[in-house]
Amino acid sequence: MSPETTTAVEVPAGTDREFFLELEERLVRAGAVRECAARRQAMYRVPREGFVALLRELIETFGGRLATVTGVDVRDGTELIYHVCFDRARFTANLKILLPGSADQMESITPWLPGAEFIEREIHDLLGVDFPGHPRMERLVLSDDWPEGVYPLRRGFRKEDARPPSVEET
Amino acid sequence: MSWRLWTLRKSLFVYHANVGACNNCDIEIVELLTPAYDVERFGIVLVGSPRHADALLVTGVCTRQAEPRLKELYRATAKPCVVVCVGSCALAQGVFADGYHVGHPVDEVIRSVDPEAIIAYVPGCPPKPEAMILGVVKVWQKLAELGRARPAPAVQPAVGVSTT
Repeated sequence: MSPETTTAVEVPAGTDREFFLELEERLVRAGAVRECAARRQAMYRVPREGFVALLRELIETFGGRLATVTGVDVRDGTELIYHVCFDRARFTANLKILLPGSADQMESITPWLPGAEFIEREIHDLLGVDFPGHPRMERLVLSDDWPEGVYPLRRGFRKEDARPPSVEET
Repeated sequence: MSWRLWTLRKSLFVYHANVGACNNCDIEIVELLTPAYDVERFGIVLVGSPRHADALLVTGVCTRQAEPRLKELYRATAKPCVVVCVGSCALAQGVFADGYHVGHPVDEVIRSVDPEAIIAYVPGCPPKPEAMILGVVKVWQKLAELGRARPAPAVQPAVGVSTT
């Protein structure tokens, strides 16, 4: 579906209609634009300003559950996609935030959502996104001998930047 | 050496090392122990410490993090120790070859510690339990060969000693 479908509100199949309209109204008020929708889920592009407050409201007021966060290195910067499930209404909102250029910083949500700790640490390891406010930003998934400042899931990554030591050295 | 190799032909104590497997090979190894195959009838027992092991059963592509640990495991085993690589990953890194998290192939890692190590390979993704049993049988055949090729033990077992 094209991004223009935002104006005509159509409820994704299988989703509770009343809840969805209420949720969509709140998202649009926060400046979100629906990019596409499928059965029981939709993708929104959300402005970065005030996003954390919006996410907190979705979780605490709307009864959402943060399934996970996805990080993608795209042409214009780094994208974070927060997947929020509303189980009772059978709906998943995928909220996409663009961190432009090399300003890879996103406010940490771990202080009020402890379950996000490992997610943010993994994204920091693999994509180099900084999460100011994170209580324990340490290495999580990469090996101990991995060089600092090399992020394997960035598009510019070359294996030569992080050659493993020879088999005799380890 | 030959009598020490000969001891391995009896009950084989196995230590299982997962150095980055997806758990599929490990499930097949569990299958080996369950009543369907029940390798304990051949005397093959899983043990909880490399110190007790006659054989090191390695599954998984050896990750960078696991590489020094695998070396340490091999050093900790009593020698002679047979290494059995199970699954495509342990053999040749499988689909993970060239990944950023991958170290060196398992056999290279073992050989860097002990160039003389006896290494068996069981291919498959995951290998069938029958294939693993075949792998162990081949290890036993190889050990018998090596045992014959080496000189007989200096001390012959005493004959005619009463056991009462």
